[in-house]
Amino acid sequence: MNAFIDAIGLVARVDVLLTLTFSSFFGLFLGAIPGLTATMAVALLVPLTFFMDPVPAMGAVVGATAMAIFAGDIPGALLRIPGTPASAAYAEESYLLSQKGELEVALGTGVILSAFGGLFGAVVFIVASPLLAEVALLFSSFEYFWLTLMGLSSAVIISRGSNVRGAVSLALGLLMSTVGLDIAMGYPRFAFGNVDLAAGINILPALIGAFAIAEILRTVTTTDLKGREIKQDIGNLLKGVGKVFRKYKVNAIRSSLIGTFLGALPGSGATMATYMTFAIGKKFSKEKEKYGTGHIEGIVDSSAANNASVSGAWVPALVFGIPGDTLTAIVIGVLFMKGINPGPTIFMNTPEFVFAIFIMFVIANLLMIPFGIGAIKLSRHILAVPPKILYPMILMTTIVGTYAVHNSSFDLVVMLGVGILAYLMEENNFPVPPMVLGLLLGKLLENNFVGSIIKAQGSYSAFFARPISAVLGVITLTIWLSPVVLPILKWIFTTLKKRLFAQSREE
Amino acid sequence: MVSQENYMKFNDAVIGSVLLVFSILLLLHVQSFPSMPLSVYGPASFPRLLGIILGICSIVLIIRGIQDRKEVPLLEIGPWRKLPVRWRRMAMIPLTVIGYIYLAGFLGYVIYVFISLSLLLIDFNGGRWKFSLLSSGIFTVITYLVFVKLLLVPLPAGLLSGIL
Repeated sequence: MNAFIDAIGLVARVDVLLTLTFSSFFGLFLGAIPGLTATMAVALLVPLTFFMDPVPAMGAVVGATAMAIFAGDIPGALLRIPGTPASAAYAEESYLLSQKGELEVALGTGVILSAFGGLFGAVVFIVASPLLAEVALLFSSFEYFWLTLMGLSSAVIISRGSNVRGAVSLALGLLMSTVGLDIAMGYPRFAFGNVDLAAGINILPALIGAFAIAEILRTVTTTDLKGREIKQDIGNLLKGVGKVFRKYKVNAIRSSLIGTFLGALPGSGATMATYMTFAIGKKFSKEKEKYGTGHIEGIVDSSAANNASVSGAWVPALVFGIPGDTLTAIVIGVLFMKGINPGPTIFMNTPEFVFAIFIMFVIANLLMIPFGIGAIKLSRHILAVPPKILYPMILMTTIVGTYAVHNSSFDLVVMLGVGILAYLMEENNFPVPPMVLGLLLGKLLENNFVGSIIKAQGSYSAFFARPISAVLGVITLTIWLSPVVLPILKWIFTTLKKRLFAQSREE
Repeated sequence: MVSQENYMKFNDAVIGSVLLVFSILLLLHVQSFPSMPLSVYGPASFPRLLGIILGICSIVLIIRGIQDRKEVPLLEIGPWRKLPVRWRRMAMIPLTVIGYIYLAGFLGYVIYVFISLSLLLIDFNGGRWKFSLLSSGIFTVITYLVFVKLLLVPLPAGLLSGIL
């Protein structure tokens, strides 16, 4: 309880509340502009967070992510262009609603359900993470090894594109993590006599490259760098939303739950949560025929799910140090930079820090309602800002910010190199998140492996000797085998079904 | 995500071949790493495993690419390939970063950012130079104040050292 009161003290400071407010505006602005994603918003804030205390730094990330994910809905409804990929699943539906003259209901539902989903995920985060942290305290290097491997493997399986492409992406990320001094002997791997390489690849410039530079490269090759004109008038946004919420409350709760879970699962994030809950909502809907004509139900499902997933992703990130999505990958990078190692010990040693994050989550999701409504009202002006002015400025910001962190030209080389690589990968359907997670977690994976194998005196069976370790090991191996086993199981199932069907016909 | 027409796609066989060469070089290079006495695990083990995984994946990609060779050309670029302006803009991104590495120390933050951002804005905005210079000036001043005055980050002063 004392920790909670301390946490209120940490948050109720002018600098923290101002940071939360400004980052919220920043998130709303970038999220609303098509092409600028929530991850990019956070990547751009990273250099600033480097110079802040940990609590306002986390506040900046929390505010920007929650708002950017919601703000992606705005151009979806107005222009049929999602502001971020996390709003793509229902942009069409929401645009059709606006064409029917129900723009206010579409966006009003979006803002209220986003706040609902975000708060739901935050409550799960508040309740589940201290409990999980208790369990995590029992973990040794064996469990951490499996857990990290499991997280990375699920990122490959879940990611867009084929498993081979996911595996290539992961292997490249892991390889980047091996640059620099190795844990076993302190040998400078892949340094080629260069001092910067011997020190290893910094995660933050790599993240900024992967999420900002790659996006800039992609956008400057598009035709349309003009601002967009909005003609619709926007009336009362909250009218009719209560009715929608009452009618679809089951959808809201179900999708928030699924969203939180998908957020926590490494490799999936807000975008997958929206596609999945939209599809599930349609499957169980009593009004399936209305989908595709401008139906509010899908918007209820997906709006709640994407914001819930943003909160859910923090659970594994803080408890185990394994990010649930690319946004929390950046969070972990920021924490590392501040000398804070995410894991169960921060729940024991600095519970007030964790509570402060909880409180900021609740504040951010409550602020979303007035700020979100404000952003919708101002959307005409936000969307009028032409990308041809924004992108050069964003590029300069990434350069200055990345350089400022360590006054290091090498960081700029890393940012540019990873940015170009990520651009080429995305263009060729190689998922980028496994690479990012590999770079972030590679050292942890190798350190836990080496620590374990030394403890076990070279015996591999020790990886299955402890009960939790054995369970995690079996789950990981099952994930690996799933691309082979699932098709075989499917084949057996269909052949059996055919046989039984044929038999019953004969009878 | 913005548009479907701005793609730049290689045949899988091309990517696979590059990755295969890379993984072979990687595997050769890790041979030079020292090994730990009395232990199977050394500095080379993890990179070697990754090299093997990459090698296997690259062979799969090469096979797939050869199978798809009729439908997928070696390199396919969207309609933007015909527009020199897009290529120029694309090249300006890495050039601006590299320029910062080599020139910002000498010219200083304020001069480099003002000049390079002005050039970018003039190019992106079809030669509206007055507007571009003004925007670039405002941007430079604001970021300078935020980083140097608010966050107390030492940015290179360059030619203006002693003045700012």
